[in-house]
Amino acid sequence: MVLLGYATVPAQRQDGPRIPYVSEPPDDPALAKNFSDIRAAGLRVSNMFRVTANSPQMGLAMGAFARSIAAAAKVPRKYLEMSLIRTAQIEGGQYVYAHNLPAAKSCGVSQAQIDALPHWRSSKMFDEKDRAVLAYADAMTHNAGPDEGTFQTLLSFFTPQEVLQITMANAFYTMEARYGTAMRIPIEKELDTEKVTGGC
Amino acid sequence: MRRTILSIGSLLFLIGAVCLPAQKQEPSRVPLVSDPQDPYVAKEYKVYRERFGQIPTTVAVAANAPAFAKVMDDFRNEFGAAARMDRAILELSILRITQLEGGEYSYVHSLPVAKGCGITQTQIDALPRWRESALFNAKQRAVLAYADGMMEKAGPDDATFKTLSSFFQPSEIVELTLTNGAFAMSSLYTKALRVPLEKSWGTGALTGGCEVSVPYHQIQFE
Repeated sequence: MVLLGYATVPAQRQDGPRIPYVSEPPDDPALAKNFSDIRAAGLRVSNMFRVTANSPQMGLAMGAFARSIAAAAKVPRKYLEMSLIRTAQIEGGQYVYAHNLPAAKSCGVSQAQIDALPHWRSSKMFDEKDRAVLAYADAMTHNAGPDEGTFQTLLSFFTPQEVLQITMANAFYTMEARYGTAMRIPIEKELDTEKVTGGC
Repeated sequence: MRRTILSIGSLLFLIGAVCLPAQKQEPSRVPLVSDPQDPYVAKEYKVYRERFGQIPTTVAVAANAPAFAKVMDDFRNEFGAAARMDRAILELSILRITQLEGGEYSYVHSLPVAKGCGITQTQIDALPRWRESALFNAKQRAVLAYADGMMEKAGPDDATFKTLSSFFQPSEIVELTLTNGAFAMSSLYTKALRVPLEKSWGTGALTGGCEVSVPYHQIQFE
């Protein structure tokens, strides 16, 4: 859930995004404060946020939502993060996938599991609970949504409250994935460090 | 005292809805909370009941996780009021996205707002085959092609993006793209949880407007 700030050395982009980064400092006072708060915390303003900031109000609303759903989630982070990187992977959201990998790792998703994720059904790296989460993430991207069996399996491992949170988090990552892809937001070069997410 | 304002309008149907008594086609996959204990959600319910005589099913679903319900309220308030671009164009895009996503709940809730913004019934009927239709102008076609492109794993291609850019400023493209994403989100969410449509929603009196940035209905939850 690291969509706004991250801790790295300076980014080098491959290609620019499809629309320009907001010019800095931003004209909008609330946005300018947000940028400086992120930097004061020792983080960097993400490329995604620098693009989104072209619409200050929407950028701030998105940022608040990203932080809030992360803070409100009661689902054990390992499952949530596994679900999110799977969702990003299926949706082709390279930017959000890259951004979430360090969080997934620090929350207990192993490198071997990450490597096995594209073919998780035939892999032995995932237990029943993991598989329930992954099947649900996959099914959410189908036009009809998850079938009854998939849903009930998930519900056998999580409370309705947790299911609600997993569902919203997956849906939110779909939004981020589609947005990042459409805008061609460049992945920051030095993203894959342990410092990125500040842990689990 | 902190105030939360809910403006009822197109984007706000992201999660909430205006409705009359519900009759569910399919049962919701998580319980619809009828008597919330959480103070914030209880206040939210009271306001909806007083004002509309009904709790929107999305709100009744979110009430299972009170902290989450508030997050979603805040998002729809802030995000819903954030767009500055032409509302009719945005609504057309929302209809198309929810249609493509199979997000029936979101689609149905967006219809009255789209109509309130001047999208005609014949355009709505033609939307599934908009490419062959003569009912959409070049700007609308650019928006529809972009919405369709966002459904592809690779995203909209360069030609589609370039055409879009010829009609809109960067800030508008951000708004459009994020809004499309938000309605993909709401479609996936309501589909997965089988959030039931209310039998009746969005009467003209409640959703007949098009101005969301100037809220024409405001609810204070706290």
